[in-house]
Amino acid sequence: MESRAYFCLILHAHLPFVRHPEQDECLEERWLFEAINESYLPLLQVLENLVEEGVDFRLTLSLSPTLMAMLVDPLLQERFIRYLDRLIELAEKEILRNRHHQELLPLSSLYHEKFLTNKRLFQQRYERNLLSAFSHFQTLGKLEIITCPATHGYLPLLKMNPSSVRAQIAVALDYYQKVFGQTSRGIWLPECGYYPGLDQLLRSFGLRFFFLDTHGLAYAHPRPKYLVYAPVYCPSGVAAFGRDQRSARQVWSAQEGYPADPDYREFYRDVGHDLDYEYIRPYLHQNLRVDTGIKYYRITGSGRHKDFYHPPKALARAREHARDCFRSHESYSLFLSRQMDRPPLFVAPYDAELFGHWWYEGPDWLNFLIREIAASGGSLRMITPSEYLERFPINQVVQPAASSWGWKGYNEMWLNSTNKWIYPPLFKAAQLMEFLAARFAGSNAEVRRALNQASRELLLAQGSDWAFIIHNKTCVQYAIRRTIAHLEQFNRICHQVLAGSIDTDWLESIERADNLFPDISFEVYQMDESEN
Amino acid sequence: MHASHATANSQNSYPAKERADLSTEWISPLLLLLEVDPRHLYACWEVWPEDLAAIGAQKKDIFQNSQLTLRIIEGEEDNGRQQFGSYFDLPVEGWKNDWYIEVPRSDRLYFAELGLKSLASGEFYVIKRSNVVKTPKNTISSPQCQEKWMKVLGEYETVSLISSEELLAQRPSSKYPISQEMVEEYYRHLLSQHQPKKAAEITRLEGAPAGQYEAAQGKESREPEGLIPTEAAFSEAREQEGLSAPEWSSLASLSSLSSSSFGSSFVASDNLPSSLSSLELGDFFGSPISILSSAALSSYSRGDIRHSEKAASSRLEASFQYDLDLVIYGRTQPGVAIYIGEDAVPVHPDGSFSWRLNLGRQGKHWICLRAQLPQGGEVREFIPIWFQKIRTSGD
Repeated sequence: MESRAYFCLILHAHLPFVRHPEQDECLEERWLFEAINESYLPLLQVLENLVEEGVDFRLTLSLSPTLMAMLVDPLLQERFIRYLDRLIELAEKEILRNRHHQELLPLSSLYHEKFLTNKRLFQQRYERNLLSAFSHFQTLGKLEIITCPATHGYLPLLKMNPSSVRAQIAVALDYYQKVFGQTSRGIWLPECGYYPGLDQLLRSFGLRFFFLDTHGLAYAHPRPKYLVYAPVYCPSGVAAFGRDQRSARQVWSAQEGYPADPDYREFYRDVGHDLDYEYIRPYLHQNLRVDTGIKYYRITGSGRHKDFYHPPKALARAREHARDCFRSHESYSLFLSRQMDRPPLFVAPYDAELFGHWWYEGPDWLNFLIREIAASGGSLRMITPSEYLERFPINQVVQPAASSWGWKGYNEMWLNSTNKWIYPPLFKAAQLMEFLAARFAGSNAEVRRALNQASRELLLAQGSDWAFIIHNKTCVQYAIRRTIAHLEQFNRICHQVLAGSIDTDWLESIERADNLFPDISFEVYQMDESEN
Repeated sequence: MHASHATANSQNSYPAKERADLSTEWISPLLLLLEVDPRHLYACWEVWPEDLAAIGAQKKDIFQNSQLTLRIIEGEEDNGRQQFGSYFDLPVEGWKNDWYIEVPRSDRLYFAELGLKSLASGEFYVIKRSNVVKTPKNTISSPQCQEKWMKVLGEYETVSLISSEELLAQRPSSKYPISQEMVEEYYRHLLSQHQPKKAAEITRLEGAPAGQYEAAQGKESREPEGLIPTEAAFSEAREQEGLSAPEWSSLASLSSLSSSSFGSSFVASDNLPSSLSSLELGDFFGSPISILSSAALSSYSRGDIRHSEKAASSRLEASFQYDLDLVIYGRTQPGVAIYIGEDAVPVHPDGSFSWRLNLGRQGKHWICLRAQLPQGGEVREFIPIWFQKIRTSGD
């Protein structure tokens, strides 16, 4: 039976490459550990339960190559276990400390149980390899995993070097193939950053679809007949799926979004900041107060006063919000389906780390939403982009407009007074890489090895995260340091190659640190005739 | 026409040591242009002392009495060809600097030239030309544009363009019925041409408020006197005109693709460009529906749209609006020129053509479709008439 409407839910999972073997403990590596502990493992648990109970669903997951590289890295896997062990120890201490506290004791126990479960899942169930775990659901046909450019480079601001854009895509696809043993049919463009002409490049790699923010289709030419409620084909034949603003607002909006509900857990109250310094110090980062993940309060309201978190209440809210989400889409689909020659499609992309990390109840909401949809009898059905295109291969041809899902909708988030200095050196480095790729093609193994590492350094410098962090003023010094370090290392390698004097000891040390994409080949930067 | 402003010197943006390390002097001079948003570009440049010395030696007269200038040249793309025309100059400072530039238009090509402009003669000596960029489009495209659909199956080699006609053929016929009003209006037009008296006899409803039309057709007529329920009259007219079934069916080639819109809950979020704060969903599905920043009712209004209070009381169905798009398609011999109104309709090599029109207002629409045979041959004209009206449950 044909469904009345389709729901395409995309989770974009990405973290910059934060691996620091040179330090025993690194603050930024906690980004990865928190994401595994609070988002990826809970998400896998949701998927497992759904499959076990025979609930039909379809999800799309974009995994950035930098995240993939970290998830299979033995050093980071080992460090994650250490991170979990310390959390388990802290939770045990909290149970003891709160043994007479009626409200806090159940919460301490809850965290303790959760950390133990996560450790068991990570070590025993998934044997430390979360990519295999996700891949399993792709094999079952429940999950479509797609890639995104190698280091999450923001392509609209890299396009002055076409070889950089090409390398970001080529390296990502090669890595995906290596990890999953198949090709990625679609791609997540970092920050939904698109410019006309990019789709032609995507087509040259055999990619079939990508995602845009609403105005990328609203301003398309000619005017898309169904706005974002059906994908369009670019003139190249690559499909563009537009984000549905209704779906976005329900989850993203800080004011109206579900995660802002007073019953949900308060992200900004953590025992790492709340408890006595001497007590909590062993669980901090080098004596620096940080989030531990143990949080006892609910959002309550906008004031400073916070009530204790009450998990059953929060769970009930997640169920209500899932039902509301389902019903609002179902009801809107009734209107839309009268205007269209096919069932409308709702495209709802979110950052995967929102679920569980930022929005603690996010995985529960997702679980309830999927079950609501599955039980709807077809009034709303989940679908992946590939399935949709198989079912509806005829779509309107339009030229989407340049756009992003960042602040103000274009490039300003990544190009403003705080981070503009990144682009001239990135441009120069890319030009130098193109020059070296042509000059040293077919060189000996030592030169190849050096230039392969130069390619990794350039890719790492191009990650959109650094410009984003600098603008957001969160970990500014780290982002500046990373940008400069990768460019310096890149320059040093290039100068050594040009001088014919490669410092192999030093090269080996940076190979150990920046060890992603082991099979990269610098020839990916060779320009073809059209790019010259 | 434009305004520009210098930004904080980039030399203050990151530590001097690292800057020195990052400098690769081998690319000099450098002039880089990037799009910030539909109306702003970012330009950065570097000219090193060696380049300055070379310019000084080569163009001594200009170098000594000139202003460092950024020239911004605007262009358009026409059938894949880039054509540049107008420009404006910005006096700038510093051999290593960056500026934000406000440009006059979105969806246009731009490139920059960094050069020395002679204060005496105005002569412009180009030091470096930038890459070409295109400012993002920030408007909704015109609705009167030919619609193309594509089928992509399997590998890309099976990509094929299909016409609106083929697409429409796939639609369930019951979903987009040809309205009785259309048929009636069509016959009225024929009658006005061939039997003016008869046409006058069955004239009705022109200028009558919406709602009275239904009443006129109902059992309890509330129509002003003189307006006659028409089915019998039309039947008679059809018989007199000898109109046959094929002509009836010719109307079926006029298909409405879109009709009405409900809704208020299309809401902008922070990431959307400000120009989208007034994006109207109805521009895609029919009449405008504003994107709102809250769950409030749509603030949209348009003179010829009647708001239903009943609808406004509903959370979702905050307002009722409607509109129509029309696709006219057909087939002819290659070489025949097709016009709709004043617009030339592209004819595909196989003779097929299609054209989409947006009929934004209610009332009667006369659409003149002309076919001109090659070498100034015969002109055939077809004038379908589209009649739109409002019908609300309260009327």
